[in-house]
Amino acid sequence: MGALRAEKIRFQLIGMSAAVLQGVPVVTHDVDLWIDLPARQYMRAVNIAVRESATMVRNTVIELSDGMLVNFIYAVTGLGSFATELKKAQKMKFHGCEIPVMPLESIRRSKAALMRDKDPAHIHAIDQTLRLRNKTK
Amino acid sequence: MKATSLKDWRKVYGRIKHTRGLDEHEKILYARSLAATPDERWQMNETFLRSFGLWGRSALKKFASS
Repeated sequence: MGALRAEKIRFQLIGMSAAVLQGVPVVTHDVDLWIDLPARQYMRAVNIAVRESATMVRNTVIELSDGMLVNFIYAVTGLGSFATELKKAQKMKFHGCEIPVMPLESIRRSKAALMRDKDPAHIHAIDQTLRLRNKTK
Repeated sequence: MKATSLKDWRKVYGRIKHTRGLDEHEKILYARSLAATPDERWQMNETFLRSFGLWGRSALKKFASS
């Protein structure tokens, strides 16, 4: 993530990995990074990661040296532009870096727009977390 | 509430224990997750996956075959 920053490529953490960091008790096997690049430039992000000793798994998926899978995303359904969503992102410390993380409300909106088989369960967990988080404030 | 970490989960549990619609197990699960720091939350996720051998590239093959 530091390498992306050094190349001045903006990104934000999205999806259930972002939800996990905000306290949603689910399990996810990869980290979704929304990259502010056109999809046709997918190799730029992959090349940067490979230079940092990651391994390319698929066109948009890399594996870091500790086994963490990172999925580069170039478009997100149901949300505004990258810049609009980035303004709402909250900074969180993750793996020694301060990174922008998409808020739960936006993750929920994207999942509600997609509604794949797994999304209702994720939406339920997000709703419960938002409800309980309010009680702990 | 000020920043907490995993060790403070009982404090968080105390605030949500009267919530309706969740059983005891779920309340503890949410209390631990809400109390933890972002890094602790990710660590719990990773530890859980590793315990089933589902961490890293091999997980993709296992998910794909299921």
